[in-house]
Amino acid sequence: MRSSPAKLTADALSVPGWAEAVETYFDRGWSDGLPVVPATEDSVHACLDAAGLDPGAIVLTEPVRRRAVTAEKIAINAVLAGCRPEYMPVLLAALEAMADPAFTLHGAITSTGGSATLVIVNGPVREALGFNSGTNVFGPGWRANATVGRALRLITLNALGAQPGTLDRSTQGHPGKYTYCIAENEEANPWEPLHVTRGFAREASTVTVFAAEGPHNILSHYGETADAIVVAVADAMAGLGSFSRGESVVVLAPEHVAMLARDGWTKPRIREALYARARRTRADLKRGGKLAGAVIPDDETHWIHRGTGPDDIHIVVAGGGAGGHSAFIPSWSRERNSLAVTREIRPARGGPP
Amino acid sequence: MPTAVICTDQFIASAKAQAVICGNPLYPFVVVPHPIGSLTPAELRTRAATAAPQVMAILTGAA
Amino acid sequence: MIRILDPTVAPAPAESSLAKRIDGLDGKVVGLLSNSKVNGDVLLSLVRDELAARYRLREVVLMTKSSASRVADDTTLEALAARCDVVVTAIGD
Repeated sequence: MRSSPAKLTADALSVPGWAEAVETYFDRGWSDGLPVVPATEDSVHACLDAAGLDPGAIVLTEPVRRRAVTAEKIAINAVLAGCRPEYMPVLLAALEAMADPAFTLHGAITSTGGSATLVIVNGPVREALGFNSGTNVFGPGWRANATVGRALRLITLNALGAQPGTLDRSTQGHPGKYTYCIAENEEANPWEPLHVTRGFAREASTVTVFAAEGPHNILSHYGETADAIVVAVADAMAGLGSFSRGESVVVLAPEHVAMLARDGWTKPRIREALYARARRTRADLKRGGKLAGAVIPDDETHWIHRGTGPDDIHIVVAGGGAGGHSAFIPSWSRERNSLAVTREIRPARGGPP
Repeated sequence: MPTAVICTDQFIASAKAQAVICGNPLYPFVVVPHPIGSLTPAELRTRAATAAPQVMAILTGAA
Repeated sequence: MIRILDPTVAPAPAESSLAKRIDGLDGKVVGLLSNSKVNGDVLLSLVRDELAARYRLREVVLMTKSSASRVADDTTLEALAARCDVVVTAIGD
């Protein structure tokens, strides 16, 4: 069955059994703080087969850290994270997106800002691989979401050397740094899904990566109009703590989406309204330590918007059918240093995914 | 060309890690107390006074 | 016994050594490279003042990285290399 007979080159350790193997990964500093699934030659070959890659194929390079990461090392970390082999094409697409210069990988994984890589999955692959886009979308319970996000973090730690205190300087970080992967609830989206807005065919499967803060909850239950939802979302986006000229991801819950659609709102109109409302005066930004200098009278009437335009707001539909809880996810990047990047998930070489 | 890198004490572990990656593990750094971004002009002058002798020591090889 | 695999990747080997040191800054062109964070340029200007009080600098060239999160671009580095005898860089954060 094996289609990648090429020999593995990673160092191997012999240990008495499974429990000792798990402890060895802890002892060597090769985990994220949770137990990993020990990677054996068989399990790594299974991942390489699913990816259709030779072990030595270079998947990711990071010039500042002088790292060239092979398919074999990606597969080892995928096993550690608990991925099924068929998740490999998703990981490869996410890594390709993270390597795009627009993402600024080195900065994103080092900065005191403490970002995590949010992964948003679109297209048929969601159902094929079992990605959750509904109830508890940011939470636990789905292997595909949990292990794909975790694999990216383990690759960042083990293959890119982003160890806390040296090449990861997150002041606080956030829980998404363990795993941060959602799928879009395209079935509850009356407009077009994220990947179509970003230029891909509807039937394509894609991942979008975004160097991101954690999700900020937006509770809006009782307005009963689209206007109320837009007011609440824009207010969260205008909060001083995360205020910047960076991009935004807005994850709208199906209840909110239904109300917006009922009242005739389209995606472009939502983005325009959010951009128009998500703004602060320069005086506020100075009072909050977001800008240097003393407040001068002009500052009280000089408005600064979140982002640089409506296109900087990425609308995604996700979450369960019940509850008026949407989320605002600010970018790590305060300006244009790191942008969302989307890549198509390609079937493995020589076979369907 | 001789270079001197001014780094705050909070970031010295990261700076040294990067020096190792670049193949120069003994690369010397000018170390000043953290922070920089939130200081008053007077505090910044104190930082500069701390840094300048270290800059010269590194550029001349006395460090 | 089971055999388990190492998930880590070492940096590509690199070697670099310190450039030849100088005797002093009299008559030298000093480059200053700020990482673009708040006060990085101010700190460098103050260091320049300290150096200028002790040496007769020929010229000072101040440049700023386009982004603190990225390495300096080739144009900036080449300009500094072409014009300066020494370069001092600083962060602000």
